[in-house]
Amino acid sequence: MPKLTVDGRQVEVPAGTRLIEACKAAGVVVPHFCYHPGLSVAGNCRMCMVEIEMGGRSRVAASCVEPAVDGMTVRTASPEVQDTRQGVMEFLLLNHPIDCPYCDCAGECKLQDYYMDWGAVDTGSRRETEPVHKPKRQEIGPHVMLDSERCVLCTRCVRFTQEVTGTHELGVEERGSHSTLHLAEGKRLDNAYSGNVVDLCPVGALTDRTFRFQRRVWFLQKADSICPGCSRGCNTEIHFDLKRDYKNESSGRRAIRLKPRFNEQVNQWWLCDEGRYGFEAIDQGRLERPLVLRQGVVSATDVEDALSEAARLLDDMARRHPEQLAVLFSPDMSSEALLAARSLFLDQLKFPRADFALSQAPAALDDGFLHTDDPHPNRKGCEQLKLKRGAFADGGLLDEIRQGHVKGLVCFRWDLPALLGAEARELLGKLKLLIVLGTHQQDWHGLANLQVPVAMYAEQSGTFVNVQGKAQRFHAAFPPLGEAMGEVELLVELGQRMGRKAAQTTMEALRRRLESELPNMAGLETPRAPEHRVSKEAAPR
Amino acid sequence: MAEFICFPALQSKTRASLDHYLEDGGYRSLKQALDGIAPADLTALVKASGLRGRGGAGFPTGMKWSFLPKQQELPVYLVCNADEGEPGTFKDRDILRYAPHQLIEGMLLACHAIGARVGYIYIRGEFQEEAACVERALAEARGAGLLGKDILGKGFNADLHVHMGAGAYVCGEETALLNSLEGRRGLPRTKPPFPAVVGLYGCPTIINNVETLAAIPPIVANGPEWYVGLGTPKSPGTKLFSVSGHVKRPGVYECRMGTPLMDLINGDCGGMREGRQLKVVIPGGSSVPMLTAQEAATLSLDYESCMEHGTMLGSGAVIVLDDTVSIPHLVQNLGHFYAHESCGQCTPCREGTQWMHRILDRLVGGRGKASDLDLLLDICKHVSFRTICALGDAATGPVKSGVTKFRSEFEALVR
Repeated sequence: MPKLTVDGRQVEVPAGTRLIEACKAAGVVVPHFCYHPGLSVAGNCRMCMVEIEMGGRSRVAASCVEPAVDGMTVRTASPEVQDTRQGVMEFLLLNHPIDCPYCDCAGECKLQDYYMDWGAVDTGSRRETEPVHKPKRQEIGPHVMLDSERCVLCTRCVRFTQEVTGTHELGVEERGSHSTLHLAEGKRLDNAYSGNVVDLCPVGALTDRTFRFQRRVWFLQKADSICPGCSRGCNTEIHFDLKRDYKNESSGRRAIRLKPRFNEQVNQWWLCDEGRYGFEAIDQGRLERPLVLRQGVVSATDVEDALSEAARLLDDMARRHPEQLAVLFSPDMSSEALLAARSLFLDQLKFPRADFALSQAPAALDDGFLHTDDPHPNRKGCEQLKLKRGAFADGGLLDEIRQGHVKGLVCFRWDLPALLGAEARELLGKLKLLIVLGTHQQDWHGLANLQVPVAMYAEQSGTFVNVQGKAQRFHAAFPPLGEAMGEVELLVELGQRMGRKAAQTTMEALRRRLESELPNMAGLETPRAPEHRVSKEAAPR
Repeated sequence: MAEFICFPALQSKTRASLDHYLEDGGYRSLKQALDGIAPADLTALVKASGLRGRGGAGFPTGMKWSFLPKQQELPVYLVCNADEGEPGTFKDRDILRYAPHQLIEGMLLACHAIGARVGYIYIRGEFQEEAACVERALAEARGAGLLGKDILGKGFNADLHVHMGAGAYVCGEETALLNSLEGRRGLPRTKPPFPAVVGLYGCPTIINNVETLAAIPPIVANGPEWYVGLGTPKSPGTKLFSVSGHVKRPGVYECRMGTPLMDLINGDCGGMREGRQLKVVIPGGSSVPMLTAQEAATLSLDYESCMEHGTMLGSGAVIVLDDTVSIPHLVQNLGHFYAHESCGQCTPCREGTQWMHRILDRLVGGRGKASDLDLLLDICKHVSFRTICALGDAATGPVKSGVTKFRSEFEALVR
């Protein structure tokens, strides 16, 4: 294990470690544009140059290229190094448009940050009056916009399409100062992971078309979350803004964008486009208020009334025909919600049918990278809690309704016609009691006696167990929309109204029980509370 | 005076065929080596000769060979760098034209020493005629059992292939050359790893210049001591010099290392054009610092004298310019060349060469500012030795030396 000294600090790193990583291990972050730990080393930006003293000889070298060698003395901010970096910054800014006021990257741009640290010199008189122009506003794919004038040619995006996706859409054309990032002949940046190049871009050359001109990044709050799009459970950050609305098209939107959050075991630095751009569902088409069906008319009500009505209806049916009751759980619910639901419906109300279902939709794509063929974030969570698919597998529920065995159904989150097929609509109409707990409005909801709005994953805290069996906690980014509530809260309230002494009355108690029953639930990382913070800390850029 | 000791075919310019080469004692070194010089001993012999890379960097050849990993499962490749593109350099072209078999023999000897069974000759794209000469020679050698399987009946297998470049100067940089050879963009690679460890197709690779490889047969034939005796203690042997510019007889000359520069210029080259005075010599190709006539007067053609004079022997491209030459125009011309040829991957070279070119253009065009001179020198400082390959540094050679040594000519442009 090589031992070296970085700015006077001793550090020991595994053999073969890159010097830039050794510096990081010593607590010194060396500025860089082209280096990224998830990509091959290009060594082209020359920003990470450091002074290396070894055997009495001193030289300046790129710390992303040099391996850490035993006995090295490294200086990351010597006068020579400062001069080098100042030169690099001046070169990069020479033809840069410096259009920060309307650049989406402003606030999370390495050019901006490093200018303050390394480039702030009186270069005004040296700047060329007429910079070299290159193409701007190029829609290179469904999600990504390219501004070649802002590009520093670090080739991170190029390497991403070569090494991570293997799709080779991007390359550098021409030579020397004519070098320009280009799409390959006949291609568009249209792969399932294209949005990652925006995260990779250290400057504002590649920007997100959905984020374009929406918000200044420094007004965004950030909350740790888990993507609910498939069973991978990619770690994400929800970037949101509850205060500002500059443009009509973002009217009412709280979630502004999703960013991947580094997790070595799960998604490393990456996130698929389906997960990244799926955030609009958080704010659109939501079931915001409880709706009750009385004398054939659906009308809005408040949560108090809805819960009392639910308790009354369930009590009534449980007293007279308990054998006709069924509850359908969803693998989109958190483990805490599943446990609370299991306690109430199975342990206390003794529903004869209390199972979960899995989507019958055409299997999603297992792309061999992050996206799995299971569209649910918590199937493993259902299985760990010993929930079954019994009653609902293979259209079993419809048969039971048809035969009159099931007359009362509580449904969590499911779009039942989508799950059970078109004839479900007719059969559901025959139920005596249908209570729906859902996040979004659905056209068959009019059949339900009661529709109760439920919080989305971004609005409540919980735990998903991913395809690898890894339990991951997520945090509420912001309060639920309208009168929606988290399932745990709803179930506790409902239980109380039904006069049941719920064994678990708080989220903390549910978590303690999960921890004691399931080994993978112990010692979970507590996600950080929503806050203003620099994204770079979360995902090394 | 020029002597053509190691490269006699360059003097006659008529003895390129296999028959001529055999008549002149060709392929005897190869036979000798295959008969009884073990690969390690051959490397030691080259090391002992003190032969240094003739492409420009002057790195000791035997030492380069010894950097190959000792335990090796991957094939080893030999690559001949015939991408002769340094402005002012045209010595390799003469070898390809007039002594192709000497190169082939040198490459086969190198293959034997380093354990390579395949070698590539990467020839500059513009060298169509030279490539044809080499192809012809390869065919002759193959037909005579000197190339391919069981060479000279000694059980030694090695084959050589020609690959044409596409005209980029930077592909003369050895790792850009490897990328180009693999079919990629000609961008220099980051080092480490060096090609001797991870080179062509990820395999250990030795890359040598044409002149370097072609010097090996005479070294093997005559012994390393003979070669050492031809030069100075630190610069053994002879070297080819491509003399261009305002001399009466420009051309390629072979000189013993340590020959005084003025002997070459005034002797073989016939001196300056009638009635003209020597103004500047660029002794090692366009990228090395230029020397004033006064400095050039004491220069001898070897590595150490060049270093003492603050310049480099480089590829041995001696550019001789007389008093009709405007230094700002010269520097502008070279500035354009390097800005045009920068591969563009490293920030300092991509932006710095382009910036220097713009400044030089406006200086020569009479639109410059007095502050531009120091700005040029400052840009040089920020480009030199701060890039992956040496192109950036090369681009600063003429600018730094031109602006420093002929500052008054630049100042005259901004008055």
